[in-house]
Amino acid sequence: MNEQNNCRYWAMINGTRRGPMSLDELIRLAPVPSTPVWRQGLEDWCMLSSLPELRGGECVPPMPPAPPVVPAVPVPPMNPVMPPPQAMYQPAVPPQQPQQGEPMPPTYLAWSIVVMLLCCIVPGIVALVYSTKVSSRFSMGDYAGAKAASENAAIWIIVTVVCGIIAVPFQILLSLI
Amino acid sequence: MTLSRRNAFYVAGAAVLLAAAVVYALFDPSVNPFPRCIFLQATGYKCPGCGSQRALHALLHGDIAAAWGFNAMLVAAIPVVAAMYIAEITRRRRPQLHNRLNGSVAIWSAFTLLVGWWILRNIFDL
Repeated sequence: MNEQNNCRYWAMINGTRRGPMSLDELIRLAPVPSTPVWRQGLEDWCMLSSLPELRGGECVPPMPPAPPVVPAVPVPPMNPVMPPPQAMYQPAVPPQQPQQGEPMPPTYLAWSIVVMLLCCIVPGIVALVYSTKVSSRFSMGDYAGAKAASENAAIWIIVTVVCGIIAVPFQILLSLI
Repeated sequence: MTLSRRNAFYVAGAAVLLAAAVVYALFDPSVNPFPRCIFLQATGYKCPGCGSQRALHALLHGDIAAAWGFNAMLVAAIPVVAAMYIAEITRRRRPQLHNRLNGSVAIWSAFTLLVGWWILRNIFDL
């Protein structure tokens, strides 16, 4: 029991860091088994339920094979105890890419090809250029730029089609001359 | 029967496509008063789409070789566009295919091919 009291624990309880405290206090205060806790000897914060001492029934010193080198004399309370790692507790999930959820905006590549081949009108090349920009910007992580390029591609496809339709009577006239 | 806006759009699009197919199947664009390419008339150079009307006419008569001769890029683009359409409607189920067809490699290939086609057909009279 005395040995347990040598272990000084910190815990994140309701978003604030509490500690140092004994294991008994920790168990009393920690609301859920997944409460992030840390003590000396742990590399990083871990879940309360995964503490070795709670599974093994006793406080395991940092180096398992070593004989109990945990200081037998309790650290004087005034002494600054080695602070827990400053990094806030992070969930075990690896950091996600910020834009992972965002799908790539439509490139309208197929439409660009179609209008270039069918409308016989030069603006089609502008639509195609914007189509190429969508994917290159998206792959660089520029989601807003990709979206803007996508919208521009759509606009230029419409411009090409409308110009193509307007031009048809003139083209027919040309063919009759 | 009521149609949603989206479906009405598709029906209208299909009707226009069908009408165009009938017109281009029945009439030969090279002799009848069909629109002529303004770019060609103005500059004397072919645009990437020149020959598309004659190529469509040939395709609708099953003559792929003739269509290839009028506008090879149009014939080559048909399977590509079809694949992209399939990728678009199955994007949820097969995101891999969609990403590949809309990725940088595919897009820059299409861009290079089309612009290269534009240049080469004017040099070699394709």
